[in-house]
Amino acid sequence: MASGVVTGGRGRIRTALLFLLPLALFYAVFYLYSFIYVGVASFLNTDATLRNPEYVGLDNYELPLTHDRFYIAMFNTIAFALVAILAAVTIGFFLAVVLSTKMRGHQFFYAVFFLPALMPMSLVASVFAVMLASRFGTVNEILRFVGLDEFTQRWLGDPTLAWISVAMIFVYVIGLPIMYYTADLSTINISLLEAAVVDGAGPWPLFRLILFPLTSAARKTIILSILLGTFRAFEIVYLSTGGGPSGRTEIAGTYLYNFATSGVNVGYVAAASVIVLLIALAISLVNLTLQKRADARSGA
Amino acid sequence: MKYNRTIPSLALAGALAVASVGSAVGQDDEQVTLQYWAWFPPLPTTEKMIEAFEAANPNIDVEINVLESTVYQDKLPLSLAAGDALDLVAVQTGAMVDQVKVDLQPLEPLLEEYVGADWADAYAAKAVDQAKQLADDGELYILPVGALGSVVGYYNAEMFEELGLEVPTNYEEFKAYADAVTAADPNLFPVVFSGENWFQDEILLTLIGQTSPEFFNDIRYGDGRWDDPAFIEALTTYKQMHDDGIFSLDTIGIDYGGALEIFYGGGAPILLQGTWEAGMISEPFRTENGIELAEVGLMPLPVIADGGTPSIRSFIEMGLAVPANSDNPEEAMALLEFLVFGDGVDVWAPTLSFVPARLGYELPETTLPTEVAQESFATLSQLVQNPSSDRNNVSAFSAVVGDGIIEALNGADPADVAAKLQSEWESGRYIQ
Repeated sequence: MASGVVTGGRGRIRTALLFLLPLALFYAVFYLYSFIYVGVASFLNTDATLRNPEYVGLDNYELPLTHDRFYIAMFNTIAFALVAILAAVTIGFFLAVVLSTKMRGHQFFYAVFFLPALMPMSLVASVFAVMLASRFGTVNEILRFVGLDEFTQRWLGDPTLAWISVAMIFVYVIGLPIMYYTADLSTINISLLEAAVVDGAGPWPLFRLILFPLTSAARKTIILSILLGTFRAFEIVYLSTGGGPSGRTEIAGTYLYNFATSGVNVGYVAAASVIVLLIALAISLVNLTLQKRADARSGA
Repeated sequence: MKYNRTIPSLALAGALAVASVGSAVGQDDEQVTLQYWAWFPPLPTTEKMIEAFEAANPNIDVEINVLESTVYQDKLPLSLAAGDALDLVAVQTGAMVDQVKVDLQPLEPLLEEYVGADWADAYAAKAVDQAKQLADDGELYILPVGALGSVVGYYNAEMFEELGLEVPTNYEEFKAYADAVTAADPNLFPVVFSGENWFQDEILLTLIGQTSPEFFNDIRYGDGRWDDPAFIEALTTYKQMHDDGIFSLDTIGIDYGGALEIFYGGGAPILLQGTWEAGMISEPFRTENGIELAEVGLMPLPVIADGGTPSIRSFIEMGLAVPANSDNPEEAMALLEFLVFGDGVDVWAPTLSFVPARLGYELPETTLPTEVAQESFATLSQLVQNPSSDRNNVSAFSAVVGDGIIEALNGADPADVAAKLQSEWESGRYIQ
């Protein structure tokens, strides 16, 4: 009966809301309130207590937008993400395919490649910092030990080498993309590959024309998660180079943290945070739009 | 039988008298609990200070909250703004005073009431002046326990003896010293220090102060500029010191703790640090803290330019204050008096983290048992009490200056770096 269906529907909605309430409260307190706090503070000259604030309009937004270090941080955030994505869709994809052939020892190699992704990023970054230290660091000490003193470098002290070192840490945590690809590969109908092999397809055509297109779903997830994850990859940079030398490896997170904790006008940091958020949103939208168009073209 | 009411009456009166005396004692000895917040000294030393205070004041309990410095910079203002009932707090000298003064009681009336009208006779006048200038209304809101400064050198006396080294006093001697160390063992750092940006700033400002003592005060309080020729010249010389092997570019990757570890482990005969690490010149301090060095001396940075004099920047630190919300101002002032003027000084002063602001204070004899330690402390006191400029940093900008210095060390032109720093100083991003 109609009234019974309506009652049941209302009851289900009520139950659903009840289950959602704790999470909604958590979101309201720790996210929504934070967004509002940051948004309001971005228009004020104030400290963290928000007392005696002075309304300054858009002046705080001008400060990061006229700061070359802010642009370096944003560039690094996107650049590190692109490096990680490139590694994921090439090396990560290749490793996932090789391991999915169930070669001897594949479980061991799964563990080896996946372990970094399971470790706390703070630990990974700290260990890299110790290994790459100019004096007494593991890498340089090994080079000295084998008589290759001339190849020792200031891995974290030279701006270019420091940038490359940080990028390598982003690449090192390649386990998660491998996992995504592995999951997607497991859904591929093996008969497709068998048919291709019967038709004379070699390894490269198999990779390029069958496996790569069929794993597009995993690739979308990987690209978006790495892209947005770099905005949150604070520990990797902070605990390896601190954003140095001279801010050359700074990303959005370390830029905001360094200024937030050193007694500047909180409104300025809040404005910079809002700008970073808008940029991250824009990147997500662009990525999703491009993916939709690609799917539409391929008829997915 | 006639009932005699006298005795019961007397007994009752006596009982009442005893009860009233008892309750008066109870009121005077009413247990008070104070909330004390600080970021320094480290918890073990703070606990000793408070234990000594509680032993001397059995009716007062103190609950301690010691937080890491950068965490404290956020937590204290927020707690005071939220109305938390704190009784005595340590305030970092610098921007924090103006930030929290609205939540603090002016101290002079409290000092006169609870310590005595002549409290200033036992306290360094310079410390009072520096404390007052931190508040834009010129009031005294904090009473600093002492002063500290940077940069000084700590030398491993045993290594010096083994390698036949002398404490360098000028650039030529410094270079000769570095050459001798490198010749003895290329793996040694002639001089080790934290290569973090803020400490690079400390070193450079110390070097500038040798020939241009008012440079930083002009920047901080006047219309001084970062692109001043004195800064550019010092930065150029600092880079030259790296090229000449006195300092190593490898220090850029070394953090605060790492530099201490290298020095304690015999990886460098000289460590550059602030005077807050001066505890290591005291043998009891070294023993208590597991520093396995036989003898550590303190030296000023060698003078790097002709006509210069050894100097450091110093400033008051750890200003004690009574929040407006405190329900126990009398007891809070008792704790303040104990820590600044009283026996509490005997607990924290031997750590040598601060030179006490209390006039006429002498360290316990056991603190500095050797001649090297005594001479080092005399040098320390002289440097801290006669600074070139105030070490009144704008924290966020110290990091920016340090980054500029590192850029110069990596090849940037010092004049360009200086110009960039001046532009950044004028940007409005930093609370000055």
